[in-house]
Amino acid sequence: MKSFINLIITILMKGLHSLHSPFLRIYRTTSFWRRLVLAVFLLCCGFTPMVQANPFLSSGSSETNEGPLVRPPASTGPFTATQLDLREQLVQYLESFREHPQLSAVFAVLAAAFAYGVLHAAGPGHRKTIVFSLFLGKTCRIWDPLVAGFFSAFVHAGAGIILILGLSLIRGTIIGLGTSERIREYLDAGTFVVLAGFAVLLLLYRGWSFFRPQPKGLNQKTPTTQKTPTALNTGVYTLLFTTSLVPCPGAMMVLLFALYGEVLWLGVVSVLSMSIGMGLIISLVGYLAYAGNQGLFWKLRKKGPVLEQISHGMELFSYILLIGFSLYNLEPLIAKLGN
Amino acid sequence: MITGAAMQHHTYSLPRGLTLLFINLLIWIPASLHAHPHMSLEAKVDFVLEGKTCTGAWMEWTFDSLFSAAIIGEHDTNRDGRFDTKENTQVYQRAFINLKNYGYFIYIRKGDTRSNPAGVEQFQAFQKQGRLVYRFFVPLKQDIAASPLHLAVFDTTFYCAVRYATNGIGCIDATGKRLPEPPEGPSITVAVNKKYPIYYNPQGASNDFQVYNTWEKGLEIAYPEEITIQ
Repeated sequence: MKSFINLIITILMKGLHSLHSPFLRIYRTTSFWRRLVLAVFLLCCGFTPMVQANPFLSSGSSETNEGPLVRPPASTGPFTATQLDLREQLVQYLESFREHPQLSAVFAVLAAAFAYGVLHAAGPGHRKTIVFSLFLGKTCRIWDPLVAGFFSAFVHAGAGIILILGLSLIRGTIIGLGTSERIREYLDAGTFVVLAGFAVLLLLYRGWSFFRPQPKGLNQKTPTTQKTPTALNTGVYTLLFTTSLVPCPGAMMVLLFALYGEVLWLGVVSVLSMSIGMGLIISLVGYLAYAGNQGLFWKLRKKGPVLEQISHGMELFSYILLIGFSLYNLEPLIAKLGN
Repeated sequence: MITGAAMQHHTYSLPRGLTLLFINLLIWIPASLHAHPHMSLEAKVDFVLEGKTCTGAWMEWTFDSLFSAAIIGEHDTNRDGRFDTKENTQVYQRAFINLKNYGYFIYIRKGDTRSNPAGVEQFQAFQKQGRLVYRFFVPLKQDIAASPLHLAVFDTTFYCAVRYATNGIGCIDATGKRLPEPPEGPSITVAVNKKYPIYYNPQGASNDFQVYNTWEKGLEIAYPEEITIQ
């Protein structure tokens, strides 16, 4: 695990500043834990001038070529116009509250944010593939997809709140959109690196146990047909937490708007309302995978060995899916490092 | 492996769950690889004509409220509702010029040949009713007598949704005077052209802004709305 974290740090550091930074001299000569802290610190400071996700924003030099670090999308999601209209409505309600602070305006903000969250998450992204892959390969309790969906959505939104408010507090001034976008982009790439790493480890571990010769008679004592759905373990939630630590740009812009408009608390509440809408959709995706998993389990419940192997195979497949998904998204970063 | 009673049941055909699983995969995985716009702009375009030659186009982009608030809040430091020269330069450098890496979102087509503008001029950022507006000139030298000129404003990263302003596309002469409608003036149409899609390389977006005229392996395809002037 230590060498794996070392690898991640090395990749992050290489990506962070193309080896021109005086920080890297410290990095090369300090201990593992200091390097870990340094890497996290650099990430948090947004010490990332070579990367940008929002095509408009850059660090200030007209000569830079600041492309995305994580693969850009291939199309828009559904209801694009409706989504953007909802966002404009949300802004109007926030402004209306600022001018006339009334409870009705608060409810209007909450409703618009919730609806925006639903449509926004129904579009691509927001770690739905990861939640889907997790429940594809895991036997779990019926409420786990619900919990995991909301957990992921709140971490997603919470990361945005912490990033915008935390850095604004530290700096003593409102953080710029460009800086927050750069940090978001590195967090995005970093979580994909972590996800790919975890998936490789799990694939190796579970793959090894799949092909390992079973002690004779062991399975007779614990027939698979009697296997009960197990709870998602802490490790899975840790993985979900780590990979959801990418702030949503939409939520960040709402918070910045609320900060500039001096209605911060309402901005935070609207982002949380947005998360509830997003959590619903992410949970739904989890339930689709859960239904597939359970349907298969139900159909094969009387075929113990087949169920055992298919279940195990699905788990391995879900890890391969996660690795492929991560590498696909990290292609620009890999190309950058290759260059 | 398990032996015994459980092994004797062989009553299933193709598992319904497995089918469901793959349907899920087909539905969700491709969708999850895409993303969605996080901001939007409304484009107004005024083509400048001198006789039958299009010398350029004035772009006026009005942004959505959230992006506007973020950029205005960050760069209108004296809060006077306008960008002075220093602030305008800052907006240009920090929130515009990176677009050159994306061909300024502008795709020009003459016949089968597509290109992005080499540069833009006279950039001015201003505020209109709390919204951020960019105005700039795209120099062109296109004779539209022989064949029509096509122009599309489109973001291949899909970070920014682009729509043309209603009645926002027109033609002016060198003095800025609006030209008449056809048949006296040039004709303008806006439509999705399925015959000439935009090909782009999502993997190479960070360092490769080549304009592709034909599809190659790894390229994505998009069909933006194209403005045609003739």
